[in-house]
Amino acid sequence: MNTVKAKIMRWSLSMVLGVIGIAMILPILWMVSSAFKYESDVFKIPMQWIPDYVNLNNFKTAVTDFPYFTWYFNTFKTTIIVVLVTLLFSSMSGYAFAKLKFKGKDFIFFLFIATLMIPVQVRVIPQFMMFKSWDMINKHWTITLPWIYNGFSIFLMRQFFTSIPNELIEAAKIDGSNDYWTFFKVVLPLAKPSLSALGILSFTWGWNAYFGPLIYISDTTKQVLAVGIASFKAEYSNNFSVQMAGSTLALIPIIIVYLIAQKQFIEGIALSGVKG
Amino acid sequence: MRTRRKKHIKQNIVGYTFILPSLIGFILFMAYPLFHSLFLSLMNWNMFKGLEGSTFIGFDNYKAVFENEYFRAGIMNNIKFVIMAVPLLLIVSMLLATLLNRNIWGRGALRTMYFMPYVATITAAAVVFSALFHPEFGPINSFLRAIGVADPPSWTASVKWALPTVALFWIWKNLGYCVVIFLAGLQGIPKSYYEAASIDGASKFSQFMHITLPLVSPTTFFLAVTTVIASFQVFAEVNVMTEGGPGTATVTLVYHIYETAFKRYQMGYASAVSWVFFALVVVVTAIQWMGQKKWVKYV
Repeated sequence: MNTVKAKIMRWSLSMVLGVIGIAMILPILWMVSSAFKYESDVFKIPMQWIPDYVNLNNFKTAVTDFPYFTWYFNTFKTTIIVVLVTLLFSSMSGYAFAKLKFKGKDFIFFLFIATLMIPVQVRVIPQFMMFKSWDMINKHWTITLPWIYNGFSIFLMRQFFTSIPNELIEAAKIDGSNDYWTFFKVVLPLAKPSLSALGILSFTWGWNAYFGPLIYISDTTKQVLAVGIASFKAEYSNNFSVQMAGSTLALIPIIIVYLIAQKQFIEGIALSGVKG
Repeated sequence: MRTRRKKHIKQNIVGYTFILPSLIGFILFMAYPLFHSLFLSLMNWNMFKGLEGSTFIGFDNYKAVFENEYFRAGIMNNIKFVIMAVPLLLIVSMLLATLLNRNIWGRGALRTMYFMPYVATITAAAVVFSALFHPEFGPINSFLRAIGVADPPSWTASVKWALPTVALFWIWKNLGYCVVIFLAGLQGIPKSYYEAASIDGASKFSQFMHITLPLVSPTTFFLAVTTVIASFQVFAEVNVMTEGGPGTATVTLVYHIYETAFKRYQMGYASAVSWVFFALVVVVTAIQWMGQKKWVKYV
């Protein structure tokens, strides 16, 4: 009797959560469906999830009226640099704060942690002037360079490295390995789970960067997707099917990356949240 | 003695080479801009007039900030936004995480569904939401009319509804993230606590109130602090969906900074706003920090 009750409970709970889950992705499904419609069918009542007449021209318009593939390329390029820079420099610093001894270590770490509370907007104006004086406006340096410092991911990596036993590092040293070699050959390979989590996190940061590119980049051919896609709304204010096609194309890569790396992604977020 | 000192110097060199890139980044992109921005906030400087046009005016910018109606609207909207969005986000995500943590079917698929909005490119998603909530022919209003709401809200076009609409979008975008963090927190609670409670005959509801809520409170606190800071910085949503309008209905402080600095090039004034904004974030975070003793239980 009890098991029947438990089964019903489990079944109804799963149903409720499933319905909420579908509601969560409904806007995305609607976007994909509308991208394939003729404009007159987008807001037709009753709503058609699978249109009777499929229109592929929206995608054609999206990629020909805008330098879409250039935006894609720019976004990939800057994202990959953001990921590499974050992984390398944050893990180096995280390791130093966790395992090395040097003068002023605690003070510098305190400064780094204190910056976590500072909103980007407070430093964006001087940063803009700095990039301008370096003649870097409209260059991808403006998007990627600030990532060489990232307090959040330094903290994340430090938390991970403190859990590595000192004996392991000592053993490598006794075998004659110097500090740098030890880091790259012994410590870093152990950090693979953390690195992949941080890698995926920084991929979303890089891919979704909006404020920086909006300010520093005015040349359309240098622009990234997140800013470029917003111009669809302005240019096609009355053509929603083209807006949806453009939005769909922007979502494809990030969703593919997410589905491939899904497990590490969620664990990475969880890890960063609990420890960060 | 000499070798020990040598070793000491070598240790310092090794340590600093490891943190060098981050340290350079910290100085260039954090410390220096921060001081420069504080200095700028005391200057009257329009970027178009070049450096010659700048004059030291002390706290006049700060005075001007508090007299500006957009600033006042911005600070009010920021506060309204936090109150509307953060508690709802935290309560819903905690409930969902508690249910997801039970023995249900398709947990992996569900997590993916909840998480999808968080990954989605923010501007693309904002474009989609604008269309969904279109006052005239958006599907949301078509649905409302179909179920008998004669005069549905005009969402982003209405002074009353624009900010709640942006908040709704923001909640949708961040819900999956909070669910995942809560799930991680819930999984840290030992199963034996619940077993002991059921043996004592405690109902599911009282287990939630007396075990789950207190033991997950450090996670709740972490999320409360970080989501409040994040909600203060809401920008892409506003810029794509409403551009601060209608009127001043969705102007936030960050949007005000963006408009004054990068559309009107009033760098001094905008820097002053950014420092007031920073102070606000610090005060709110400090209040939360002091309040945690009352309700956060660290085991």
